[in-house]
Amino acid sequence: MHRSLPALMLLAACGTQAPAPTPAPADDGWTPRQLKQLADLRLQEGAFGDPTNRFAGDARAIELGRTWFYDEALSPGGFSCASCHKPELHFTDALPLAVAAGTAGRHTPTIEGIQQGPWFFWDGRADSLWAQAMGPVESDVEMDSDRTFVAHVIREQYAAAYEEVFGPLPQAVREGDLPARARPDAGRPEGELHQAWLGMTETQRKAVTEVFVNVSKAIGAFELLAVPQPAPFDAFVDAVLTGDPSGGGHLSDEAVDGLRLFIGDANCVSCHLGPFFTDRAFHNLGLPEPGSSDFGRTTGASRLLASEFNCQGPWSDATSCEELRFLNPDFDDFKAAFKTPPLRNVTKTAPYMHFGGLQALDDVLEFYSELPSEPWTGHRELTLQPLHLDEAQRSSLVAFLTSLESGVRPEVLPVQAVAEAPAEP
Amino acid sequence: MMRLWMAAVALAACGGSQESHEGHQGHEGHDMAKAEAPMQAEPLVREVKTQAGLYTVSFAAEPTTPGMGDLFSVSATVVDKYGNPVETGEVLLNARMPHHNHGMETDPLMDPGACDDDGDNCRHEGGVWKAEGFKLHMPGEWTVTIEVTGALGHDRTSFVYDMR
Ligand SMILES: [Cu+2]
Repeated sequence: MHRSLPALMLLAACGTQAPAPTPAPADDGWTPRQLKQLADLRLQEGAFGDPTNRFAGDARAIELGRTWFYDEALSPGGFSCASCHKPELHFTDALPLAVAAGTAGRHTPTIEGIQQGPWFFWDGRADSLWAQAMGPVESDVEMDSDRTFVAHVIREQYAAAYEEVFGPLPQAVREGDLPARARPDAGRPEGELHQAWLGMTETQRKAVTEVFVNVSKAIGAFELLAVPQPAPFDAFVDAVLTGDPSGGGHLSDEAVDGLRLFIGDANCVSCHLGPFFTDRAFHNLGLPEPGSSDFGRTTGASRLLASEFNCQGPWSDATSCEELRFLNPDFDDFKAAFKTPPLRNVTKTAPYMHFGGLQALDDVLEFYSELPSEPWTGHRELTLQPLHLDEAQRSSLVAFLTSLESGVRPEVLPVQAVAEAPAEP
Repeated sequence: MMRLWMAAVALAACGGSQESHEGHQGHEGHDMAKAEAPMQAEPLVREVKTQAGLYTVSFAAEPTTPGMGDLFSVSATVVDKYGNPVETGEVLLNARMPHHNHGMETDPLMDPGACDDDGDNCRHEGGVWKAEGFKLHMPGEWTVTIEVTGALGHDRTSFVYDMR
């Protein structure tokens, strides 16, 4: 597989030349604009960083993060991140709504192809992977754990490994004189967890939060690695960009038809753009969600601004937070808008949408064909018009999306799974 | 820093205003867009006159060709019709997608310029006004609006920028 980028550089150079008459493309040819679109969608090399997380890229922290991502001991009920983000399902769970300690209000999103940020969760209520990782731990319908429980587990099972990476465990945690479970719980101030939290000293609360932040930063550093691997589509693009308009046979004719629709008449690329096929922005699609009261990004933006774990908060390692600084929580189109999901491996992560209500990709394409429902609040993204795709077109789009399939990176699988994996034939 | 607020109603009014034909970009490039769009977005750099002809504005993004969904800064160098730089008063810069009826998802900040110790009497030397926090989060036509209130009075202009 070609992974070098000379073609991209050539392409960039063309952009600076004087406009030349555009030759009409042959039937199987690609216009300069299409070539640019293909280059934009190709997977890029390079690792992702996180200025808010000083352990990003730290090999020991990443290894701990890998352990903790899969560690069911971090919650009293035996749930881990991987209970819902199952690596064999590309870090999803095949359920409409996430089910762990309870049933969550939204569908489990993949963690593949979300590394660009700047926003995390369907509603963007976190602005770093580590801050995102904290949410499910303390959600009573997800892992139903709490930072104090986590601090106990670290002290009892991981003290040496923790201290090697993050420095000494805070005194208050080392002493272990803490309630078994406690966390701030604004939603239930009279509840046991919140009351236990109020019963702790300020020093204890800070110590427990520090450990929880470090554990989350390790998990965040690990999740930065969960980028999709190159897919047949990328080999296709490489071939096209190096002068073979047929794409080296990496895509079937039907998939190429789907690709042309995707970047052409169907204009999926309007929002599904870049190497992970997402604009990283929020849109209200007007999905069929009778009875919904989910305000999506509107709530997410306010919660982010109020969070002590945001980029500007005391636990962040960032020196500047431009995205947060200019975030406008009152942006009207945030109402009932949700983050555009990445599309690599989308064929393996049904069901779909933030509410998990569309069973198959064909249902998604049928939705975009007809736009049969109206938003429960706000207004539908105006760029959306019914696509009226026929069966052959829908099938070609699915064929194209199938060309985005790739295997999960071995470095984000659980350690024992890699060890036990049968040798390649 | 002053928050930029422009009423949607006022903005809608300029949605129909003409695209500037005084841009730094040649027309060839733009006409070509009809037949086959250029491969790269154009630089977001324009020189425009305000509607009543009171002011001329040199608008430029930094970087000049912003990436989709990336934050960028803008500057507007404003001179009145007699060639005097507009150093005091008010200049408002904004962008929206009239066909989608939405603005930017960010809340840009206008640089106050050089002010006295109380933050008053701010002056924008050379008529250079800057704003941070612009973001064009979708491909398509964006209308950049510029409102100037200077010694000659209030005037406005807008131009279309094709984000791709
Ligand atoms: Cu739009």
